[in-house]
Amino acid sequence: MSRGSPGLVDAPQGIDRLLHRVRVGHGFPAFAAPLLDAVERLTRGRRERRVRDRTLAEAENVRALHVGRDLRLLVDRLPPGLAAPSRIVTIPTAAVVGGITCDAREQTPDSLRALAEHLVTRGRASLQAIPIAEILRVLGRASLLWLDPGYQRRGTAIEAIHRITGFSREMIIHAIDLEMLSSRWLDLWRTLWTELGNPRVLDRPGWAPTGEAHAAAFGPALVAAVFSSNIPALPHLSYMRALAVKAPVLGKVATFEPVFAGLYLDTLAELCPALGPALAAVWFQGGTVPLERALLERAEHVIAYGSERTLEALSGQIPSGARCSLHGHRMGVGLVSREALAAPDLPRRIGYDVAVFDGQACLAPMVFFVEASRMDEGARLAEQVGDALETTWSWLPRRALGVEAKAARRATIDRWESAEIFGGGRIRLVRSAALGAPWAACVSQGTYEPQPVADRLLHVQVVERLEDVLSLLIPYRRYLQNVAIEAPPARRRALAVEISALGASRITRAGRMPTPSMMWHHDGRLCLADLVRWSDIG
Amino acid sequence: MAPELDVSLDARARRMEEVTLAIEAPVGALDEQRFGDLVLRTWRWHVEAIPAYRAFCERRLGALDRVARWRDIPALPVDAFKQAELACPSRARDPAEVQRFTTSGTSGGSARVGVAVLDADAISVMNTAIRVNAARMLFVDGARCRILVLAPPPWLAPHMIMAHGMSVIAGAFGAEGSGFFIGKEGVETAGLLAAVDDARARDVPVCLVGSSFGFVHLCDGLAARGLDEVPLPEGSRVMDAGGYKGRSRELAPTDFRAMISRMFRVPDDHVVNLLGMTELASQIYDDCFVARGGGRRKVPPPWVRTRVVSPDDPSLEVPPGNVGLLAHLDLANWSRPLAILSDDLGRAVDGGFHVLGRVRSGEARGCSIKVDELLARGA
Repeated sequence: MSRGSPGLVDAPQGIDRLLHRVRVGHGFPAFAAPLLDAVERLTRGRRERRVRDRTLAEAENVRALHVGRDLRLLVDRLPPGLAAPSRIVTIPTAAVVGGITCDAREQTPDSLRALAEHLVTRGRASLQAIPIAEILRVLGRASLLWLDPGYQRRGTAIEAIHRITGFSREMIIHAIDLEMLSSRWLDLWRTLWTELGNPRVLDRPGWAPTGEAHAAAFGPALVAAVFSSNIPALPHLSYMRALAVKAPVLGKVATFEPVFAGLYLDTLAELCPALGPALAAVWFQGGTVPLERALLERAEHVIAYGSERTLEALSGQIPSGARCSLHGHRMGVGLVSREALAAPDLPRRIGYDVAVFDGQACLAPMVFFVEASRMDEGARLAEQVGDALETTWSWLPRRALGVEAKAARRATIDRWESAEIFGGGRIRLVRSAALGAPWAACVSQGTYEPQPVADRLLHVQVVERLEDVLSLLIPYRRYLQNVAIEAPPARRRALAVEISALGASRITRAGRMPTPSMMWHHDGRLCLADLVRWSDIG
Repeated sequence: MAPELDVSLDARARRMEEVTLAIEAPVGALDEQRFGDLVLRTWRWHVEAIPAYRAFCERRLGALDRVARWRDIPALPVDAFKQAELACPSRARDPAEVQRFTTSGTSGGSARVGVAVLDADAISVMNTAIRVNAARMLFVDGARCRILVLAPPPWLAPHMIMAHGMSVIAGAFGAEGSGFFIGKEGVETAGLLAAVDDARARDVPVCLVGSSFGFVHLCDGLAARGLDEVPLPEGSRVMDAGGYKGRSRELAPTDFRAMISRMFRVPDDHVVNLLGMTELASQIYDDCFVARGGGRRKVPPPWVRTRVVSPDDPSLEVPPGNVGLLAHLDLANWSRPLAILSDDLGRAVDGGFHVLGRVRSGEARGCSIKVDELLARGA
């Protein structure tokens, strides 16, 4: 696709880019919150329509462009000038939709060691020579390019990820938009500014608000990253975070979504060839110990996404002394007070939170606790959210499911039904009368028991007092991440403090759960400052 | 509801007689109409006698009279057995005559175990089914084998339906010297080796039967003793039941069979896998031993119907060759629901089906939550 081809749609322009900031709420002081809410309420309907039309049109464009053509992609990226392994292997992506083949160079422990060596020496030197302002400019520019529906790599990524993962094209478009809208130049600058105090200490010693003297800051000699497949377009975050502290990155792409990282690296290398020697994306079968060890051997910082089991296995290969950011399982929850239950746009906002990424993200809500005396009230909200989900479906369709995923989803719904019919009335299944409706909900009371809610399933738990939720969540505190609270301001603040103390790392509103800013303390940590080593120079 | 249903004990005994006869009938003698008739009559009794099951059927069907053929009976998801004890009230006065078998935790999401309740009548019908089936699929050559069981004996594992089934098989077909070789301490490798040696000396064929993971443990144990192979006498056979359920290292079925054939020197078509579920009275065998070199598929006995249904709507079968969920209807489920929706994925093949794996609910990739792990660690 090139710019100006017929039928092209517009990228999110001025007002939407601004409104994205309003909606996420970042960059605004706390006292502006009521104003932002008001702006959002007033603009949400029209904005959603605009986004919907744009997304649908782009999805249709991408589909039409690729229809009937099989895709074949070489997904790994190695720095220029490095002797690459010559044997090419096909990645067993188990593509849900099909019509795509992904290839990669076959890595050996030795080739990975040579690659790491190259990145640590040539790559690091190359990065050191680029001013941080320039790196951030390039990253910001890359985000803008990726926001442009006319950008060819974006189209390729959308179609390829769709065919492999089954995510709808619309969902991938939306995911890329969300990721890139929060990764623009200003976001990067402000994050670096917030976390380091003075980003220029990455170039040369200078003043920093902490430390005993002028200070210089250094990124790790090598960041090794292991990506997962659950969120489209997520690998860019690790590359961006590492580059923002001038660290070379050796990324290992996921078997079930290997394409995005390579395409994104192409953009960066094209915009700034000096970044090329510092960036790599490789593939090998996860769990291959000698390869994993070689991947991580030289890393001073390891970023990894994956299940507990994957991360546990991986952590055995992390060299001692390396720092890590291991992003394991997390859960999002929603809290709705009695007063907030009546808000007319609440079901729509919850529906959006449930729909985005099809519940696959660590940000996705596992359960909404609703303050009510009877299960009927929870069921009514579930039905309203169900209606909203049907509307959302029209522009963010659910991912295509393989037979196993379908069967798993069916098993969950069957279990809710069995519990309703045969159990003691603690669980009720709510679903639309229409057969094959895209959603189903479980309304429960009593002890909280996590339910598998991916793919547009909803769990509503009725609680007598919202404050009771804290004790219900104690067993799961170490998984707590993203919490949406809908309650009157004073109660909301009190709850926010308590649930943060319990373990949450982000308190937000319903409808904003999938849209954290670049500055969010991911897993409760500073993402850039965590990477940096300081030297105070007196 | 059909008016002719007679719920008296007399009628119940007569019906049980009819079902038993149908199971014992020679292959081909149980025609579709007779099968359908027996199924529908049994189902009507179940609906009358188990209120919770009736609620399920009404919910799925709208009205119970929508069931005109056996295919119309909604398949009950296995998870229901974790929620309630679904069985007709026993004819026996003595509660000790009622046996409870529990499922090992099947699919994820729920930590509960399922319970199957069987009274003396149900056990009698089930035993008939076990015997008739084993005679046709495992001992079709009329061989009198020494049956060595790699499962605990029923008195050690009273709630394990596999132990019960294997004891029935050992009792009905086992030659002298048959026995159980899993005790409180695990696999009794030494005793088993002695039994095999003795059988070899007397030239009696051996039938090794047991749970799949029991075999994996046995082979690991034999390897630890430095034994690469333990040849069984001519005419010996192996039957393994069940999967691994995370209890042992997992093996693909072909690797499992290769390991067994190598270790015991039996031909591949003498290694028979059996699909059994606590929720079903009957088992479904591989037909390799009967077909001899004619491939391998699961062939249900004549009183069982297995359909491959769509996960989107389990009342519909998937087109031939497609993967779907296995739904079984077992006439030998005397006093408990006949039609069961399993959580096994499978594919229909000519005259039978293949099992492809088990549905894992709550699986997730990446940083999103996996409910099994949450439950395991949280609760």
